[in-house]
Amino acid sequence: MMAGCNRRDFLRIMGLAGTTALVGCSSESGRTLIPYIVPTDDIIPGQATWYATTCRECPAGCGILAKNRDGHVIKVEGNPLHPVNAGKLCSRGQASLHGLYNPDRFSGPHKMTASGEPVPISWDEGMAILTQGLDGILDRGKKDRIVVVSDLVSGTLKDFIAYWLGEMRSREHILYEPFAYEPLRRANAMVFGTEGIPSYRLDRADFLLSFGAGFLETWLSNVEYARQFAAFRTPHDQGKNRFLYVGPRMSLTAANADFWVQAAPGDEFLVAAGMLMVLTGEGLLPNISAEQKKSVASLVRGLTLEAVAAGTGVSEETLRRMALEFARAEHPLALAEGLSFSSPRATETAAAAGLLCALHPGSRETIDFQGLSELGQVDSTARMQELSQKMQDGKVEAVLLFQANPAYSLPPSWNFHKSLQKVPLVVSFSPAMDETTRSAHLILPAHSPLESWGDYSPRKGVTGIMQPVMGPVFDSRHPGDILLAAGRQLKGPERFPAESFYHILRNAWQLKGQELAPGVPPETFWQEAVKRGGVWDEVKGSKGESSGNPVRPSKFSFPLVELGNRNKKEFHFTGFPTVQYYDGRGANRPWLQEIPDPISQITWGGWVEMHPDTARSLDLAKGDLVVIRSPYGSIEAPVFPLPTVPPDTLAVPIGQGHSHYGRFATAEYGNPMGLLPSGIDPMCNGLLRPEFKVTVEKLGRRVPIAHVDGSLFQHDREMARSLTLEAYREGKASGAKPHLYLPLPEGYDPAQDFYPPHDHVDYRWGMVIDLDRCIGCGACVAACYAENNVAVVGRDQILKGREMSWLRIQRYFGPDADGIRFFPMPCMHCDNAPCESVCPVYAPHHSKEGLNNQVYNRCIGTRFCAQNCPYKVRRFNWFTFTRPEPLNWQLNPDVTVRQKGVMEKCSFCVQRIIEAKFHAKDQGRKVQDGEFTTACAQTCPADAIVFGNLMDPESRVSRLIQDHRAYQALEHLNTKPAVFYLKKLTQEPLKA
Amino acid sequence: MPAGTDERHCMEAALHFRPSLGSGQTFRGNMAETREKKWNLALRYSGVGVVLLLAATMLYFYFLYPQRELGPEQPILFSHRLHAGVKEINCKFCHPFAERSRNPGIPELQKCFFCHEHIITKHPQILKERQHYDTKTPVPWVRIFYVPDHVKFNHKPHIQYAKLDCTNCHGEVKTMDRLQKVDFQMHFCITCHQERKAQLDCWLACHH
Repeated sequence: MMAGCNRRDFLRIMGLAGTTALVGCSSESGRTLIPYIVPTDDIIPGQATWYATTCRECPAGCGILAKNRDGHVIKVEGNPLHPVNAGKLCSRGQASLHGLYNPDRFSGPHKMTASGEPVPISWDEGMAILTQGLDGILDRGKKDRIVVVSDLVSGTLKDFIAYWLGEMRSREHILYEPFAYEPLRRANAMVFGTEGIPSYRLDRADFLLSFGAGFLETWLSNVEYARQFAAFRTPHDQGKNRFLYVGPRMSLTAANADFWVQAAPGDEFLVAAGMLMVLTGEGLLPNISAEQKKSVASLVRGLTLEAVAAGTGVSEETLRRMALEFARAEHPLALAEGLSFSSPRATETAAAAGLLCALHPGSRETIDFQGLSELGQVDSTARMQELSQKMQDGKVEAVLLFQANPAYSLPPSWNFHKSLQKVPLVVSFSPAMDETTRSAHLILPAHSPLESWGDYSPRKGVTGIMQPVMGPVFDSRHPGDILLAAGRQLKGPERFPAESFYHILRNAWQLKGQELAPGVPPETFWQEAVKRGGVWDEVKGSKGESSGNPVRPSKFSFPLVELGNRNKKEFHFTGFPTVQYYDGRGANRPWLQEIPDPISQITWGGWVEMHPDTARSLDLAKGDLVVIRSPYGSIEAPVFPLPTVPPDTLAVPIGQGHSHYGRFATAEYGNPMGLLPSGIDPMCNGLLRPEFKVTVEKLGRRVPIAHVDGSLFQHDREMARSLTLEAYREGKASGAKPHLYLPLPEGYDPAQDFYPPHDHVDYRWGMVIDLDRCIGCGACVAACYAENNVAVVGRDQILKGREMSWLRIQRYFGPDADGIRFFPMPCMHCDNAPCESVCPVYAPHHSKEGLNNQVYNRCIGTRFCAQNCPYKVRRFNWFTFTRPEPLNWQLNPDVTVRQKGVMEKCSFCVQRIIEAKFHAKDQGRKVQDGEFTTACAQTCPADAIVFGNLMDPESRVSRLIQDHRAYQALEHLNTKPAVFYLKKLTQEPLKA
Repeated sequence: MPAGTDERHCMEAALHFRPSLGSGQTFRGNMAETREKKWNLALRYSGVGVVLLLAATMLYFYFLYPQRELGPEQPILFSHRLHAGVKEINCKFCHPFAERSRNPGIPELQKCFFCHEHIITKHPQILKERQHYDTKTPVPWVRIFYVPDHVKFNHKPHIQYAKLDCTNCHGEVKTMDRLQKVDFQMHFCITCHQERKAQLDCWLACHH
């Protein structure tokens, strides 16, 4: 038959011709280059500029350096000069960028309609509403009718608010923090005569006892205390300092203790009281005065050692040993959490812990009352109750809210938002919607702290400066400028002569300069302070000597403790703060939601921790929704069986269960505040936390829990290893060497190795992770997300096991569900990498410097490499994960943003390696050890991660792997990982 | 007759009850075949014609189109030939960061008026530029040189360490009024990297 040209052939030819024509005329780029009109002094295109400022994610006030690249801030790191955090930062600090770039921030001023919908208005309209409202109040002439509720602010802004309120005939500035530590302050007043919070010096202590104080999570200043804790725990000639934790739940802090003394909420006091009885009764401490004995007697009145042991379940023997350890130590330190809502008898516990320190002369060096924390300035929650009452009575005509969200963080039984509805004018300066702003009439969005000028003192002698590290992202204004403009409008420029809040700040610092550095010109003083990030003791030349405690004999009159019977169907309850959410303000930061909780490994959600045995006996499985009822309220939460609580205790994290906090705070379950009564504890003026029990009822629904751990246990795989201190010392004395498979040419063994050794030129990068230092806080993971454009995938994808983290911290329980080990797992950059040999397109390949490269543009997504990786560190992009505008402004331009179908993994921060090599080349030398480091190692508060060159025998990594604690994960597979671990050192928790 | 024909007939008959056609009954069938052939032929010729036409068009646009020496048109008619060639202004006057940063930088509008405050101030293009400057509206220059997003190109090592001349990659800018695009395919980079023994590692060089 003749070859006819049918329709199909015709189309085929036409298609071909069309393609050829298209290929012939390549299209223009469609890209544009936008020049500056006038250049800025400090921006070089393509190069980062670092600005020093202060982190305001919590009251700790760490110094940060913000990396600005082409006008956008892309990363924050700790300021190495700052005395609080010395270059380190926690995950909340790293995620401050998600506060800045949060897509749920208000685009500009809004007016709330009657139906509760925010409607955009102009700044002129907004300011007009504000000034008219205030003008009306001033006309009516009543005092104290305007109230400012803010988070903890200090320095110039606080002074200015006081001045402004003075002009408005009011004195009502409430510094509201949900974590106000009233019991701790009250107890310090009783024991030490100072109603405040001192600086604790964990690094000076040699024995540490924590009564519920989670100083590695949120307590007072977690980065500072994590740094000090690492110093405290470093093994020395006499051994390793001991740390005991007393509390109801295995928290992150408890997981780092030698021994967790399980005590029900409120029983911490009994344990402390038991120790005090042993100390005074058995004369373990000499030189206890008769007055001190009287003080102890008044505190432990009505208690006996037997009753304490029976009531708490902590044996007399244990109490005696704890007391003995405390007495024997040279500088013991006892800390109490001092949060009124988390445990009953918080004031008593704090007083008992204070008294323990007061009795031991060596403790005085560990508590520094000179460096009083600014947290002591926070108003007690009683002040909020007064406000609530005044609002109910119609005595408040205007409330201005700054970064305060009491409608979420106060117990719902307070009905704070209902009281707020009685106020005729509620103005919120909140940058984004929250539960309190929902009740506002007017929203005038304030700058985020990273866009603002200001100053903040975390403690006496340290003042950090805040400077805008980039231009405003949204149409917001500085809160000081909003008040200033309103003040000018109402009172005229004579009363408010300053042009802007910046000028007020400069004036204040001129005075400060005259006081602190009299000889220095004001401009120089200011410039130096801004460059450094603030001023601290060094300016005055004083070194912040620790004070002796002004101990005073006290007579305590706490109510008697009733040691009641325990009902098996009822549970103790504890709500605990977590390192990621603080008081709940972190819940709208996607990184903090995505990075798993260190202990439970849960992402994106609230949960209730229940002992697995209890869950089994109640026929509850993972994810079963239960209602938890207290006498004062009820909450719902899905059950997560975990051996972190005793069988008779339930624990719910604080910070989830938001109703109006943006698109990322999706976890609707479990705000533990829902179980608390509405009263105030007269003892400390904090939230009332009576001793109560809760009941649990199954609801019949199941909520999937997105947790990322595969198992609670190691299943004998010995990933996270440990060594007893004795064995370590013996090995060291006998000159034991670790058995390592070096990822270097000398590690080549023809009997074992199939492939020839890799040659390296100058550098072979490697990492050492000290498991004895790692506290498992997850700061490194957050830093990695920020540095490497790691995608946030959300709850649904995590449920399918598709999280993208390049670095994860694996959590393993001990064989009997006791003790927790943390095991950070980045890519091992193996010398014999199993991923490299299976890729059909050579997308993973071995670089000259030992890195295991993943070439994204070469990858075709077979996923063979991930299958063959024994460490499971490779992550596959199932989708092109996007970031809603303006979250994408945070992306690091030095790192490719990966797309669908591509494999990715830890790169050892190759962009930093390249940068460091350029820097070295500019100076005509090789890269020096410690000159740069990876993002994870940079931020680690405990300095657990060390990065460096294995080819250099003098580098820190090369020296550290000489230690016989060194090992490699799954080394029997002969992958020759370039990540080395140092075994954790364990010791007997209590000496006999 | 081959074996099995009968069988097929039987099958067809059984299945379709269709009477088999004799040879005298194929007239209408032949007519249809001839028409189809003609149609096929016409299609083929027209197809080939269209292909030739398209190819000719393509060749014309590729090689003969009068503006092929020119790059894309810019919002303001700026001539590199005039500035860099005739007036011999150094590249780094306008692109000052090439030696020390990833990006060489493009001149801010203010820089144009360092000279044009005094030179041909009434030229229509300068007036247009002036309008941008006065209204603080940036000029959206069309980007000519770029690499894909998965290539992390850095000017600094090329200019500072390798001492390359700008023309090595960007062509004879001094002779071009409108800059012509250079197609930076990977072989463009790798050939030079191989010759000069520069970094050949994927990650440490470009693709991180």
